[in-house]
Amino acid sequence: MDGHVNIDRDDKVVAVEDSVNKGVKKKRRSQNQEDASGGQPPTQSIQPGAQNDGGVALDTNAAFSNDHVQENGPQGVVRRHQRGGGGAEQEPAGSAPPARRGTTQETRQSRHPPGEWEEVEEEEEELKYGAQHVIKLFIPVSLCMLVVVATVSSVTFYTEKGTYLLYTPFHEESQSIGDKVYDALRNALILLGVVVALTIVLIILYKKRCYKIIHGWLLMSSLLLLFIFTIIYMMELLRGYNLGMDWITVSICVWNFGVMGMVSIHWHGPLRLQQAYLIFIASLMSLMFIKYLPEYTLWMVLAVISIWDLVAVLSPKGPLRILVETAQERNEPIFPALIYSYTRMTQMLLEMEQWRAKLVHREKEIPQGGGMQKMDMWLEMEMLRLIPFHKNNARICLVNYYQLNIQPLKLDEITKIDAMEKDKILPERGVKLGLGDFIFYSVLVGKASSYGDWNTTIACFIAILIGLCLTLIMLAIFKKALPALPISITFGLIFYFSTSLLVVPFTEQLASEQVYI
Amino acid sequence: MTVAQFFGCALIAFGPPISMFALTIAKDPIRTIMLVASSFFWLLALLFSSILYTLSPSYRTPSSLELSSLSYFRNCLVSGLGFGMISGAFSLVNVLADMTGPGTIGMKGDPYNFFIASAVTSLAFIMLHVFWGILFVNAIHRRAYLQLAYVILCHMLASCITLINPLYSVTIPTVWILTILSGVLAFIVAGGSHRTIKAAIGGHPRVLQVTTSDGNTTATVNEG
Amino acid sequence: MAAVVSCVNRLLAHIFVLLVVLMDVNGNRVKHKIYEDIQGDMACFKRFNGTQEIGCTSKFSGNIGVVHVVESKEDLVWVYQRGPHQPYVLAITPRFLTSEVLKEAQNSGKVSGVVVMVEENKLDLPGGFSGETHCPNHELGLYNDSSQSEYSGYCWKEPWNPNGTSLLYMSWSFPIFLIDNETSINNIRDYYKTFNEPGTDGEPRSWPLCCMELKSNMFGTTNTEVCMRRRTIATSVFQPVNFCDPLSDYNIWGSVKPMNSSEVTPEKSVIIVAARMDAATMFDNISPGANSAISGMVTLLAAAGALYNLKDDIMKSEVEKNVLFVLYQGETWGYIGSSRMVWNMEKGDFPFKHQEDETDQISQMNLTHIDSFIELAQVGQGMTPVGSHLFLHTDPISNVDPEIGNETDTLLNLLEKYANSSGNVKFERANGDAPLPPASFQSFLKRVNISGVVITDHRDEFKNSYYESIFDDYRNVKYTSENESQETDMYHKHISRVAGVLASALYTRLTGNSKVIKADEKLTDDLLYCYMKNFSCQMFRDYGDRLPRDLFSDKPAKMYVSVKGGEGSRTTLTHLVFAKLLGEKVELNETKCKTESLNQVHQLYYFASLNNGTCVMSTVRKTEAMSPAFLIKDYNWQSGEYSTWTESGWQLTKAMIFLKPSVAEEVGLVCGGIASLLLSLALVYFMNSRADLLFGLTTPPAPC
Repeated sequence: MDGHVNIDRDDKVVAVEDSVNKGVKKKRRSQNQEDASGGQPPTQSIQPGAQNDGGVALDTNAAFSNDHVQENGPQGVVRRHQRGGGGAEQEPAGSAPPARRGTTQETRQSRHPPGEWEEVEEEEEELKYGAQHVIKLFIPVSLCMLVVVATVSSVTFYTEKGTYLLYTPFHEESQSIGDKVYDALRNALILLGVVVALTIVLIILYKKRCYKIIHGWLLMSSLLLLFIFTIIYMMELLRGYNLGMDWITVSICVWNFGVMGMVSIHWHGPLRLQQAYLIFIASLMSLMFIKYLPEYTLWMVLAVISIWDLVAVLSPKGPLRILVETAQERNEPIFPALIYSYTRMTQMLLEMEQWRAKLVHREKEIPQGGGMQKMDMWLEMEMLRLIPFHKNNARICLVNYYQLNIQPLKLDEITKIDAMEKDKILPERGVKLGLGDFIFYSVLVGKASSYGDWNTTIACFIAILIGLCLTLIMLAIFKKALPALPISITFGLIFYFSTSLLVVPFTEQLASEQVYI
Repeated sequence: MTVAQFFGCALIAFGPPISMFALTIAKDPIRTIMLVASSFFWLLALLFSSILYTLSPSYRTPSSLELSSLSYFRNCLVSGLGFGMISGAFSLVNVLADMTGPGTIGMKGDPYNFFIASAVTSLAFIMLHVFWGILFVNAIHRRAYLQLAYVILCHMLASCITLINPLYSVTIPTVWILTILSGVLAFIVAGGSHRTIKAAIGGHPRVLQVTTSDGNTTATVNEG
Repeated sequence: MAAVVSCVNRLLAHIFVLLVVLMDVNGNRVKHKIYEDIQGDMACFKRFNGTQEIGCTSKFSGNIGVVHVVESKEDLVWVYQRGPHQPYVLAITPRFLTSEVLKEAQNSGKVSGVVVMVEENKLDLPGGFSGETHCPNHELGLYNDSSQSEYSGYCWKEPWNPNGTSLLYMSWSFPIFLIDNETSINNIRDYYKTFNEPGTDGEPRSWPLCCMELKSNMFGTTNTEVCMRRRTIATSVFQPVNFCDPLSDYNIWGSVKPMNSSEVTPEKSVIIVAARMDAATMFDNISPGANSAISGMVTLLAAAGALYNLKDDIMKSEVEKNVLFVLYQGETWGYIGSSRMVWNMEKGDFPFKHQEDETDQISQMNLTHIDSFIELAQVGQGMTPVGSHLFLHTDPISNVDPEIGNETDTLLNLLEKYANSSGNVKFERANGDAPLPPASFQSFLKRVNISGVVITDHRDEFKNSYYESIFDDYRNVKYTSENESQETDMYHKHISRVAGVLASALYTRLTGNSKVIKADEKLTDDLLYCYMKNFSCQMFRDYGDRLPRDLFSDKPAKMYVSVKGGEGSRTTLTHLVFAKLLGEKVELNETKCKTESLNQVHQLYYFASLNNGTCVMSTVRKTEAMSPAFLIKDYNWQSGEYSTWTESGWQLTKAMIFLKPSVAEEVGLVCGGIASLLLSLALVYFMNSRADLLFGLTTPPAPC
């Protein structure tokens, strides 16, 4: 939702929705008292979405009647009663002064305490922006899970057991559960040992600036994934659907696919293509894990790896923390093959340039006299579009019911806004999520779906998304690198086991008796 | 080939919620997150009730997420939709998955319209959750205890009536009557009335009158 | 306030869920309401040889058809002429399992699968039925067309197997399943009656109709050459797929006197006594072979056991002859076992390649060491009211040679003598001018002329009307276990008698002395019971205590030759039983009772369940029985020299029954769904765009 302000006339309470935090922040505020003189736009852009009380239709809205308009008293649509001024709750420290409002701000200083609306706005902006970050990560994570779940449901190869990796020498072949759990634990610890060892090797190489070796290693692993695993995937897909394909077509396809992948991941390529490839190789890895790890081992590995992630990223001597800090010290980006980022520096700047260009264009479009036709259409479009829309490209205020005052912002004002926004709202140019996180999320959901019960799959999916959301909130609060696995995997595991053991019999019974709750 | 049944029932039950999601919620990231969050809380509630179903007489705790904001009805809609979609998913998804095979139900004495009934009832419950969300939160906010009682009773009635499934001739009309009733109530509570409907359908044309002065442009809107 | 609300809700939900809990709890998915599983483990599957493919396969996703139970010819006619709901799955009784019916079904194009319902108590047996050809194993036998002997056309004039339909060697485009599970058959009948049975005037019923899905998709295709080639390619890539597997199992054999490599085996000193131990049918997991395989095998085992009891006398004798008892596998499919043994003997590595440095090794044996050949082919149906009456067949071609002729004559006289002295056994010579019936002896005669005899229960054509078919079971040989019936003359006694005569004759050949030997009747009865009625009998459980329990089912043994890695339990058990019969007890504990090398003269076997643990030393061992065609480099698959039979690989065979809706209903549902989606899209879009007007939500901006 937009960061709207809702004024409830009964409670005289203004509450600001903070959906990302799922809490409620309430602020008592005074109303800004504007006189009804034209030409003095209020400090903020429009606040649409104000609630009228139930049952009152638009045309009886007092604010819209002519009578109100003639009065020069403090009024506005957003309130019905006079409210006492002053007594405003102090805004939290650190809210920037509304310098961006330009010259018109000063005239209004006397009329209302500065900063309240702005601060609410800024918080709303941050919330909305934060929520956008979250959604921009939800989508690739969901896509990866979707690919894994779709493959696991349709191709039986990835759920067939029989071959195992060297890293998991205990194959859980005994009948008792205790033995299996013990085997699983040992397997998980062996895998953890391998992961720790490789991470330490990576750190050492990074510290010693052996970039060539690291790049070579990453190249080799992407080569393996993009060619060999892709061939296996393609073969199993074809076999699962009983389609035949000759070797020539297969080689051409896989060759092109692989080379394109290598280029877009390790060199330059369109952003969307790189993202798509990263999602694909994450799904391939997840599928490999699902196939080659025995049952209990897989769950144990998930738990152990999340604990490892927690330790490695948060503890002062943790290898991943060392890696991130070293990268930040040296002001280098972390290797592209390991990280998913939904935006890029050049992309963002490019977008801002385009935005600016649009505004300038609009300003130039406004005919300065005559040309009513064009003005009509433009204004109508703008009104219909801008009224319910909050955008920093025009100040719109209501002169009266029939008259709308649209003042496009001047170019320098826009520039200032951009600069401020850039610093305030874009501290890091986008959130990055490691590929390992994608892999383990998809492993959890893929394994849950391999048992054929969709309720469990959906529950795990939601749990992981919520965990990711919480992690990003914490990221916004703490503003430093955080492990993305623990919360999501914990939720995921809890939900998996509880749903499959407790909920499923319940809902199965309900569904077969067609009882709804 | 009852992949056709799968698509039919899936679209019947999930078509309206998906269109609501796509048109209302998908554009706004915060609303999407709220949707996922309300699904999560429904799941928690379901989990608790299943724990107690497994152990002993159980109870269910619906989440009482208090929301209030300028457009809180829209947010109630979002959370209600979240509840509705996840409850619909949980009651229908496994049935849909079983539908995709070559067979249909009925060989062992079950009614032939099992699937349609399930889909239609799921749709009704999804819409009911949406409307209850709106009514419930509004009732709590305005302390309208009658509304609150209505929501609870409606929920109880709808669920209890499904206990007598597969007597579809009784359960489905009842549930749909409740849905429509709740829908109308929610509409009214959210600020609609027959006049607003007329206005919306009518779509008064607006005439813009533009005057310019000092580089400021003033547009005038006439309701014709 | 929130707490109050949730409390209230809790209370109410409490009441509600109590009601829910009162329902009976058995978590089941909707899937169980839709589908019912039908027994699907006995499917007709594909086999290939060098030139053709035989058997059945289904489509990759399974064959679906409307069930139609066929009780009479009119039902078939109804399907082809009136049935509007094609394709159909015909549920037939065994009476209709004929090539005419199946060919008609295939040609009509309205049939997508056939299910054969074999009910235990309503056995609707045809008069005689055999899936084999009129002349089994003709192409790979001694008298095949390329041998250009005067006897190659004999079989076509006087077929050995007149009941043969060749159904086993035909290729079908739809799956054929055999069902003997009573529940499944009742389900099919009941659902058919409820949903599908046409009205009394033949009026077809309307949808929804009851359908069956038969899944038995086979991976292999075309012929052996093609699928073996694909197999070699596939194994080199990541996930091997077995397109087809060569038929392969083990020959089990043992000698009475140990054959040590340090001693020289004299020429023409080994008498081979042979029987086949495999049978086959069109269907997977069922191959009773009571007369075609078990009768000869059990006779041989009983004779071996009886003879071995007198081992001390035999060892003391000065006569330098030995007896080699052999059970051949794969004989049904072109004499796989016997041709392999002959091939190995010719190459000089029978039983194993000689290792230079080992002392305790079994000696090599080749074709020159063979003195004579006695084979027990089908001997089960030779029971007469007065005893047993069997026939002795000889090969006319080799007996032209006077030396061979004399030896054969001697052998026959010996057998007849002991038959007469037993009182109730009669051995009669079959037509000396007729060729041998299908027998492993033919593989040897292709390479070397030796004297020999094939003992069967038929003079001319088979007495067995159900040769190599699903009906060749204990009823066919009229077997009733001693516990079950009080008849005086019983099957196991017949087998024991024959075994006794054989053992006596062999004793004489080995020692030069006469002795009438009686075989152990109880042992014979137990063996027959275990093979023909219940494979998980006590005896086999005791012998096979090392085998996994799930290999034991209480159905008759499956006598099919299988493939490498396939059903090996029958072979293993026969091996163990044979070892015990032809072995002596030694005092070794479990850890020491292990054979170190397969080349050793004696093998050690440990039986944990016999007398609290017995260790047995025996000469019995097993050697691979896979056709030499798969071992010869660049073998010409069309040459017809060795058997080239392979079996297709498959993932699973499955059948289920369910209800199918009409197409109109499905289309209606899809349209309803699309309508719901479009309607809701339109409505929501409308409400969204006019939200401000509908709900008075939008506020015009603040005044200036």
